[in-house]
Amino acid sequence: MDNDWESLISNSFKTLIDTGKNYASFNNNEIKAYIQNFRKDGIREIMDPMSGYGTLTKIVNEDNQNYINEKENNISTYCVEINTPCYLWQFLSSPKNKNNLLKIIEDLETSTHKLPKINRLSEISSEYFTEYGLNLIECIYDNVCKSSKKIIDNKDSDVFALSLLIPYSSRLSTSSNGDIRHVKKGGMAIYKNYEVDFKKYIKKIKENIENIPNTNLANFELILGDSENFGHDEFNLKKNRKFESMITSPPYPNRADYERMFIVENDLLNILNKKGLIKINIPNNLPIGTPKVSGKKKTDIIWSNAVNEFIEKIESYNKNPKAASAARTYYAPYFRNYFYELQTTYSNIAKYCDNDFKGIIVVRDNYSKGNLVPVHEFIKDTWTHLGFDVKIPQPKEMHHVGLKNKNVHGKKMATQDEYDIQIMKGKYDSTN
Amino acid sequence: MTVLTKSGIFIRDDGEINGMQVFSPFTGLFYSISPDDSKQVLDWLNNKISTIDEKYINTIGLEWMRSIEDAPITNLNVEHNLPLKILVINWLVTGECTHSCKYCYAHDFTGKGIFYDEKTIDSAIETMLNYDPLAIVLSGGEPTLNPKLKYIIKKLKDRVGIILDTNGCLLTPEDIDYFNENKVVIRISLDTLIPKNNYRIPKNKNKIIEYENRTIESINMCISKKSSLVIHTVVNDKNRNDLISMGNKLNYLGLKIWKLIEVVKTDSEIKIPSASNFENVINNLNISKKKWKQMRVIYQRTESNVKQVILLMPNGHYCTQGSNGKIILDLNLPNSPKTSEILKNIIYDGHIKRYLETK
Repeated sequence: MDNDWESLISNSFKTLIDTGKNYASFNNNEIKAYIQNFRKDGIREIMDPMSGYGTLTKIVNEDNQNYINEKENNISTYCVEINTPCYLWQFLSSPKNKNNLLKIIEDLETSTHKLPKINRLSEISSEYFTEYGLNLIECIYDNVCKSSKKIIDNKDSDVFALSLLIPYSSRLSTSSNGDIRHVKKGGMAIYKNYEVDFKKYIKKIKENIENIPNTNLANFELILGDSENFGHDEFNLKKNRKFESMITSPPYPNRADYERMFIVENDLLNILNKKGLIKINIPNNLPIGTPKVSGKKKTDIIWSNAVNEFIEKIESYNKNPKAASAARTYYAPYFRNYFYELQTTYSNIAKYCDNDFKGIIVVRDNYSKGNLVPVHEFIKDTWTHLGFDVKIPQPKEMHHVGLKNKNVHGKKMATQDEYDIQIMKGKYDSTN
Repeated sequence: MTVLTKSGIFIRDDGEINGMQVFSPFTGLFYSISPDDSKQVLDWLNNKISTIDEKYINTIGLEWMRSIEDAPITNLNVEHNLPLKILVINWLVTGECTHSCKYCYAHDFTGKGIFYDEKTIDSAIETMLNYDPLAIVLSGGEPTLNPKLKYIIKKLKDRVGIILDTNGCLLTPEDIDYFNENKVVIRISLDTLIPKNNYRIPKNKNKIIEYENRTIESINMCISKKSSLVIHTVVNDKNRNDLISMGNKLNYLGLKIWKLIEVVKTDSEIKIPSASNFENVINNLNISKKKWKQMRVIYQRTESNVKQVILLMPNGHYCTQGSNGKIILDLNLPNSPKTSEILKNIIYDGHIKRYLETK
């Protein structure tokens, strides 16, 4: 029964704890090749404004190990993430926090016996958490905070504590795991052996953290924020700060709700926030590509002709009256929001790109109503409009974990094309 | 005739052609033993011999000779002819219930019925045992609402296998102790852990969560008291995507036997949405079974519920479930039908395969 506790936590964190990767992660080897290429060009800082689970920092740090005593050859990263559970996972996995986390865990391991005994084994509810389950979580959090405050004597102690709490928290939720992108509300929370499982979890996390290669020559900055507001106060960007490179990937426009993948953890964070128990500023905005379209701001002009043509096709979709109505009232606004918000985000990011700049944007195109969603063309049009040189190499054919419909015939629908789009400026501009 | 062996297992020797039928009160499972092996298995069950083929230890021997955790998943293939005899009678001891579940056999009978006095009970039991069933399922309605339930069990004890079909909402620790002492298999119906996906609806709809929690409490009590507990789940469109998660949780709590029934199509007037495509469900369950080492998962597909079950209704009539309601098995003798009439009016193959653990 050793690993049975893992079957009780959300699939997203189970996968992250086991493998360090999750739905829609970068391909490690490909990113490593780009990092090594950037290093040869003298690039020493790489930015990712939509950093997800922190794959960029992980690979940069691993690659830095080849330059252990060479500060001048170490690459730093600047990563932004809007989804708080993902941000906390990156915090937990960050080489910068390794030593402090290990000290906190060492102290925590001596105090887990203080967790309260239970008076019931399990409970059913139609919410994500029961009152009883929340009380247990608050007790765990209290314990973790105490350990954290002994090691971290500033406001960051809360974030350290939360980063340790959150991956475990679904263990005490009622949620039922669906596929990787779905977590169902309501079900049975299991309290039995929660404290034993917490010890096992802490042990596993400790092993993961111990395996993070050491670093003290590079800086790994991590920001909880919405890159659509890139440059606002929470980004800690001093005046004249510029970035020389970027490796990133936008969210897929497949109406996957990335917030919902961590709905249990986000629900808990909201509850703790309302109770005043946590002190981080949880971004209010919904991520780009969220399937929620009602109530969103009306969009302005989209620069990309390919996108405008695509949206027109979607709006004129007319297979039957019901489908036509859905296309007009949902799909067209969804894609309009997606592209406009991404355009705004890239515009804001572009202001902080150095005059000599090199970037890679990894993109996969989807299909909607039989039409190719022109994400790679949008990227090209947008960054060109922003004054960058854009190169689109031949795409790679990818099988995507999110594609479930094995019964769909034809090559187009069963695979996706992946593009590693190159964005350049200044000395890297091939037209210069 | 059905007899209790020294091991606590019930057997019914049906002769040289039909072999021996077996019911284990330790797991609630039924088996059919080939005629060639019947004597040896019977001797083993009566402690006359100590060694037997591993396949019997890993099936009939589960939970009294070998724990589920230590036993590989083994099937007993049935290659002999099965006897033309009633295997199980479902005795609806009351029509009263706390719930009105959509697929209940007693939905068309909601009154108390006649099995509330001992004399009637005694007479009904003797009639039932004359059919020589291997086991009797005490059902309803909710059987625990019949104040004579423990009397019924006392009268059946050691004469036939006993399974209690319950929603689990009203069980007390004392009830569970009593059932354990009397070797009753407790079979709790639970289709989902997600309240909104439940076809099991209490009559007081405000009490959905309360009743579900009572059921969970009963399950936990049965596990801690080491009852013979089976969770019975009817697979349907609402719950099919939740089964793995449900299995993870039941396994974690310590459940030993989980039986999932898929009704491929139902002609009953009671509408359960037909299961559309369960291939993925079965594939996922097969993968998950390997990690649920201490829980045995039995997945059974039945073509239909029609004419497979033998019901002793709360009003004393023997019936089967027809496509348009109950069919009295012998119109001339509704309270004590002739065996020939029973066998004529049920689909016998469906009746026996409904219960037997076969390949």
